Amino acid sequence: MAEFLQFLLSGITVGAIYALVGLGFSIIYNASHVINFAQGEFVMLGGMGTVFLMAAGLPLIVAMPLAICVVVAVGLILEKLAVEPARDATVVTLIIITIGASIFIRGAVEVTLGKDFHRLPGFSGDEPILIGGAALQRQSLWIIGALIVVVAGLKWFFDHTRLGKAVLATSHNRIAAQLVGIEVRTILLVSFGLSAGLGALAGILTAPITLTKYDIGIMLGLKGFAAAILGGLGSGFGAVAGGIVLGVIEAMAAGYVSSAYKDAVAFVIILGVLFFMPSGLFGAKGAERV
Amino acid sequence: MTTRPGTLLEVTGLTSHYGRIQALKGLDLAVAEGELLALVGANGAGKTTLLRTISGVQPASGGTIRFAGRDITRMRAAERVRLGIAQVPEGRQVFGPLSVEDNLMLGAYTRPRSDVAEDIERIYAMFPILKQKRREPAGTLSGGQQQMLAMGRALMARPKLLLLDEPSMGLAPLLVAEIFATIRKLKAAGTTIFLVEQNAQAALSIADRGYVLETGRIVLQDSGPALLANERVKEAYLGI
Repeated sequence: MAEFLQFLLSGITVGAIYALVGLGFSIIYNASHVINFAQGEFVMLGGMGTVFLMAAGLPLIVAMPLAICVVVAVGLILEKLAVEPARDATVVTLIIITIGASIFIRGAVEVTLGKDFHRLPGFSGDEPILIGGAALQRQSLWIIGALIVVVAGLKWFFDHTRLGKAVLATSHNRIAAQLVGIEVRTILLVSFGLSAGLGALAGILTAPITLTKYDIGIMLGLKGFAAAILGGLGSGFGAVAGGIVLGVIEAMAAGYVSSAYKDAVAFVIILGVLFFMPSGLFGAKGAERV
Repeated sequence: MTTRPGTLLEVTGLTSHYGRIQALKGLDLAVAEGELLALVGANGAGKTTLLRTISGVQPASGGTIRFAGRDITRMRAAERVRLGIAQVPEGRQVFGPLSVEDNLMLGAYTRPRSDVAEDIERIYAMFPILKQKRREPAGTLSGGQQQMLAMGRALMARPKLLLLDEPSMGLAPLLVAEIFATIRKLKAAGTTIFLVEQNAQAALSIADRGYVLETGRIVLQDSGPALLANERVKEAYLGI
């Protein structure tokens, strides 16, 4: 029982990280129908940025928001310089552009900051809390708490602000959005900025647990993508549920089967969802009344 | 080129392409302030393309579009809305997952927030059914209600020029009559309207002037009643 609880707790923790990354995928997908494969790089940049800002002598409380701002700026620059100039290209072309951008960002970090692993200290110490024989890392509470705050914030943004509703309208019908005077360029910028910020937050929160490195974004990005696919691409609630489910299954597989298969779980899930239920758990069904 | 006084929209030599296919082949037309202009033509004549090009969601490949004296040929769609061109697109295109009220609110996206509440009440007075359904997702409305919502959404921009693309399409005769009555009321209130219709009879009978579009070219233009009496129009579009 203690063993099961242990796996469950660590599963929910990583699941919350996947959920944050998956939300980033969903937001950009909604606004542009592009799968942004540079999402994992935002995660890496958040963690690495904070590590190096702290190494430069800044306290966490300053380094963290500063790193998030830097990553948001990277997201905006990516949209402005790489995605917007190709706005008339097909979605596949745009996706390939994001893959290129992710390779570029990873390479730039490798060359400038090096290839070493880095670790951030836990936000409230590294002493675990014991619950029913299982050890809960204090950082897990930060991660889960951040996810709850982010989900509430996004819900407020999309339900109660004009800009949030404009993002939804653009995602539903881009031409009609332009006809009411919504600047699609602005909406794309907002989505990339928001996704980059969420990615950076995920990267910073997870750095005390999983460590961070220039190429950590590849795997976290793919896991977040799996979470978004599992929940139904474009559904915010789906990305969160998909992330938690994926994290828990992964932790159970690693615990009860073998940790060698841990990463395979995400990919089996991607394949399974794409084969058997392409719209995921909570995605929009294909049919729509016109 | 100088614009005649009173001309709100002036289109000169307009061409537009979908890939290699030319949909508009050098089109000239003008809409005067306060006028109700009807454009009729068969399916595929280029009616919708023309409206999309005027609104800026379809690029012009040649020619010019002038609005209120300004060249807007290369202007972005959102800026044209800000200048006063609003469109009710073909097939309504309401934002299905958003509520009726949110759809109306987004119609006023280019306007100061302080005007929104008052304008929404104005639209509700015009279409009381929308007020009843204000909290429901627009996608659950009937076709006629969606048409009213699409018109309400466009009017929320307080347009100087209202472009209407096939407002009667797919509606029952009673609803068509209601929509046309609304169009007449809008005109009486001074809105300049450019109405595109396959229902030539209904459109020409309320229009001040009309144009007939065939395969990307204007082939006839005259006053509404004159076009209704025109032998060629009768034969091709009125089924008489």
